[in-house]
Amino acid sequence: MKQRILYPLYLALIGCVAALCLIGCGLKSKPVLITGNVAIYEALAAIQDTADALREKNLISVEQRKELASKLLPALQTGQQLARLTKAWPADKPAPQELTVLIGQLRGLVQTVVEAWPPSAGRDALAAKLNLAQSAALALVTLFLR
Amino acid sequence: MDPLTILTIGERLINISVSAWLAFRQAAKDQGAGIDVLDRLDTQYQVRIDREQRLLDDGA
Repeated sequence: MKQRILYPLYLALIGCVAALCLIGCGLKSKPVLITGNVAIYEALAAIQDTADALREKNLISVEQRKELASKLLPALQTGQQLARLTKAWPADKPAPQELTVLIGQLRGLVQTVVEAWPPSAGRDALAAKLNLAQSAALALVTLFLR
Repeated sequence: MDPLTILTIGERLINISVSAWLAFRQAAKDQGAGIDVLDRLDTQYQVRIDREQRLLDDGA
């Protein structure tokens, strides 16, 4: 239980340190977008690993795992698309509109992953913590794209 | 849910935040060093996509 209590604190510290670091370094929008996407990837990868671990321990059924996969796959594909679009974006040009659209899509897709998470496997806790992390990361990226 | 399960999930949730932060920091360093983070990210996404796709196709 102690770990669960400490988790929001870790999250708040991470968000705070990341924001301070980025602003302090004066990074421009493309680097921020890249690092933001890396953080999103890591979160999605951790969700995938956790889902697999829960399945291995029989805490979720094959059907529940497949349901998660059907939601996680589009999120991963959108993240990859975002990475490819970012690569194609010339640093001296304004951010393409499609980037902002993709970021919005990704936010929605991550939400569907969380909603598909089995309640017995701690969906409420995951929703609360992940939403906070995603909001912070995506808001930061959107802010720098303006 | 039993306490062990709660602890396992709690630990996983902490790992999400810690690994995201470490990757975030590493990506910033790599960009500074001129390493193409996006190519690596593309490959990493592809590995994860293939894993989920296989699961959906095979039902494993």
